[in-house]
Formats: sequence, structure tokens, C-alpha cells
Amino acid sequence: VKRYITTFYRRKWFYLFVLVVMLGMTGAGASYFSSGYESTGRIWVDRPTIARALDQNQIYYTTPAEEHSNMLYALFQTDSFIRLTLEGTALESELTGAPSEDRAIIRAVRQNLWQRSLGPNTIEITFLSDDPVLSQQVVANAIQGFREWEVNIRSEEVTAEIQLYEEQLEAQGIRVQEARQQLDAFMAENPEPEPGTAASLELQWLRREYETASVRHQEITNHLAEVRMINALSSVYGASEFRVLDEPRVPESESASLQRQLTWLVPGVLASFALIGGVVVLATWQDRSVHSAEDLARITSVPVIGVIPHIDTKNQGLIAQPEPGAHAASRARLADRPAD
Amino acid sequence: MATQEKTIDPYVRDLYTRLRLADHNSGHKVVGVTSAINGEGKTTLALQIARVRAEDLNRAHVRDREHRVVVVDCSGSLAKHSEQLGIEPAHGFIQYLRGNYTLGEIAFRITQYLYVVPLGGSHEEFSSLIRTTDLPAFWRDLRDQFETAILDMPSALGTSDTHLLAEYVDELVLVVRSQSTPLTYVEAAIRSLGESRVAGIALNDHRDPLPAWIDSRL
Repeated sequence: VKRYITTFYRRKWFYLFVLVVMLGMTGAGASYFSSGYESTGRIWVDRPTIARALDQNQIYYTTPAEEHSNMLYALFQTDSFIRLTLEGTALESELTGAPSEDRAIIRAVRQNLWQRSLGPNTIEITFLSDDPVLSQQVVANAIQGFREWEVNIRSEEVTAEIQLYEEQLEAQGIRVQEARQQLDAFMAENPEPEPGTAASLELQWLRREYETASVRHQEITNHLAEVRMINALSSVYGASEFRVLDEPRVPESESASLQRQLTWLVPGVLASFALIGGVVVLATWQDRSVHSAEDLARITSVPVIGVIPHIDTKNQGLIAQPEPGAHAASRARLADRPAD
Repeated sequence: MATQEKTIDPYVRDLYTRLRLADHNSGHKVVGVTSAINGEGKTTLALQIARVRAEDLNRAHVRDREHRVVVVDCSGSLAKHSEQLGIEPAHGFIQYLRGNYTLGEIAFRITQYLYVVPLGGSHEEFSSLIRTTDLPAFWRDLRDQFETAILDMPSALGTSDTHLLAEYVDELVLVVRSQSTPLTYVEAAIRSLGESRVAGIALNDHRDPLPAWIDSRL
């Protein structure tokens, strides 16, 4: 550790200068890239009302907002949903339908469209753009698209459930009918069997089979009725399960939220420190210079007979205490040269 | 800790004393100062060793003409300090080797006991002359007329002149600039000169890597 700190300290002003420049660039970049026209819409979401009422013992580990936020995030990752959010916007005309050509637009929209949950039932959807109208339109489309997707999903689920129960009911009806026929046929052959005989035991078994099939048939009938009721009432209760709290508005001025800035600042600051740290580590590894008498002792038995500290001798001169007349030393030689 | 007000005299005196203590003979006269590569501060250190030695002699009021100290420029580095020292760089060692001047005529007095012998020309010329002229005569003159001679030599890995000159010196000091000279270069220079020939290493321009308040916490 000391080696690395020494390397840093030796060129501290250089490293600090680079760090300050990088942090400055990060700040400027965060301010530039996170500013724009930001439109936000908030929606209220909840689980299906009737489903909750029918199954009150169900334990949930996530809030409705978290569940829906995750769904929304998954939708944002699909190209089809992003295309949906661009319907009726200025960007729609730029979409060609070819995935390879539309990729850049879709990626740009996706990067600037994000959602987060606010409390247990509220979701916030935000879009940042240079165009304030586009910003509002994308959020409005995202909310509308999400609502339709949710309604469709629920409708498809209910339809599938009804179909499943109807099929089960039909199969179970056949079983009841068969059990009844077997029972009637056996009773016709054995009107009054003696108690304790084999015929008596079989009659009891056939009766139980018929009763069990009838009970199961009734259960399926009840489930089917519940699902049909949920389907019938979904339009009524759907309003309380999905509500738009704040319609997205066309922003009047540019803004840069702290959260958005932090998404640029945090990686930028971390990258700046990581870069400086990396350079210091590299410089330390590359440094093979002599730092102390101990370094020399490791490579040679020649003793270090003197350690001359760094002293600024600029003001002292090469000869610190020159003798008066030393400036004329050129004339003062050990032996005078004979005149030519 | 070094500050601007401090002088390097005690450190240089300490270095010189250790050098003398390391010499078990009757006392060295010619000390060569070299380094692995250029820019290690050997010229400055050679001058400082000579200056401190001369000042010590001056303080002791030694009036013997034998107690003179001289710096002999064998690398040409002193030329850039000639104005500050007030010497004529045109006349020096090279002129002596050509037989045009005597040692006395090329030894410029800087202070009472401190003299400087400049190179007096290009290093290429000097390099050629030391291989073709009567070099031992110069060392005899040097030892006769000066108590101590400090040779500012070229870098050991830069030219073989250093190895040639090293044959005539009593002690070799290898200057290593702290936090600058690669260890491998130092190792190569010592191997090249011969470990037994190098009397010691002077770690030059040394700075405490960390301030005391950080160092104490690590």
C-alpha cells in the first residue's frame, strides 16, 4: 500500500489535475446528457378486486406497484411496445419497420424512458426528450399501451380459465352420467341385496362413485360461475385496479432531475477514481528506479557511503562561499603561462 | 528533512569521510565520480566534494601548497558552468595532453584551495587523446601538486572512457539519482566497472517519499 501511496504522492499534482479534469467533464456531461424536456405520468395499480375477495388467504411478497413496475420494465425492453409508444408522434414517421434500421431510434427511446414505483400502488413513468411534445406523447402512449396490455392479459386469462372449466365440466358430466348408469344397472339386477354380501358391498361402492363425481361436478360448476362473474364485472372493477393519477403534460422548460444526473455522475466519478487508481497501480508496477539504500543493498554489496538529500541549490550556486575575486579565476591559475 | 535553507555540506562531508575511512591505504588522492547514465548529478557532486574538502582545509589554516583540491573535468560537463566558475573552458585537459600546456597552466583557482581543470574541448577529442598520449604523466603531476583530485568522469554505461580512466583513480564513487535511476542500470554499471573497484554509492537528490504525517500512519 505504501508503494502505491508513494507513487501517487510523488506525482500528486498531476494525478489530482487529471482527476479534477475528469470530474469536471463528468459534471458537465451529466448536466448535458440529463437535461431535456421531461414529462411524467403517474398511475394507480392494484390486484384484481374479485380475485382478492375470493382468495383472501393469498400471501403476496411484492406490492402491486412493484409487480406492475416489473411488468412495465419488461415491456419497455420489447421493440413492439416501444413502437407502440411512438404511435402518433413525430418519430413514428422515421420508423421503417425494418428492425436493423429502427434499432437506433428504439434504443434512444428506451434509454430515456423509465419507470419506478412510488409506494405500494403508484407507478411513475417518465420520458426525457429534446422535444417537449414528443416527451408527453410517449408517456401518454406508454400508459395507454400498458392499460390495454393489462386488460388484454386479464381477458385472455379469464377466457382461458372459462374454457378450461367448461372442458372439465363436460368431462365430469360424462363421469356422473356413467356412474348413474352403472348404479341403475346394478340395482336393476340386484334390487335388494343381502347386507354383508358381495353384491351389497359393490352397491355401496357404486353409490360412493356417483356421489363423488356429482360433488366434483358441482365444484367445477361453482368455479365456472365465479370466473364468469369476474369476467362480467371486470369492466366495473377495472377502474379501481388501474387509474391514471397524473396525466403526462407537455413540459414548459428543460430540467435535469437529481436522480437522472446521478445516473451519469456516479459511474463517471467511479470511473475517474478507478482510472487514477489504475494508472497509479500501473506506474508502481513499472517503477524500477532506486528509492532507498535498501534497494541498492538488494542488488550489490557495494556500500552506500552517502545519501545526499534534495536541496535546492539554485540560490546557493555551485560554489556556495566563493572567495572574493573568484569571478576573476580565469586569471588566477596554479602557474602563470609564460607570455607568448 | 531537507529545506531550502539547509546546505548539503554536512552530507557531502559525511560522504567524503566515509570514503576516506573505507580507504585503508596511506590515503587516496584521486577520486573518480561516475554514474550509470548521464544526468545523475555527478558534476555537481564532484564540485561539492571538492569544495567542502577545500573549505575544511581553509578552516584548518593549512598553508601547505600540497593541500590543494582540484576537480578535473573528464566529461565536458563543467563547460556549462564555466561562466559561473569564471574559468576559460577553451584551455584544459586536452591542451595538456597535446603538450601545449602544463598542469599548472590549466588549473584555474576558484577559492584558496579549490582548483578546476576544464576539459578544454570536445569529448570526442578527449576520448581519442587518452588512448594515444602519455596519460600516466598527467596523473603523476596531479598527485604531486594536489592533495586531492576529484575526477568528473563520463557515465559508466555511456562510454569505455570511464573504464580507461578508472585504471588511474584510487577510489570510484558511483552516483545514483534517487527515484530516477533504474536498478538494472546501477547493477549493470557496477558489473561493468567491477564491484571491487567501486568504493561506494552516493544516493543523490534523495527526497523523503512521503511526508512524516502520512508515513507515521502507514
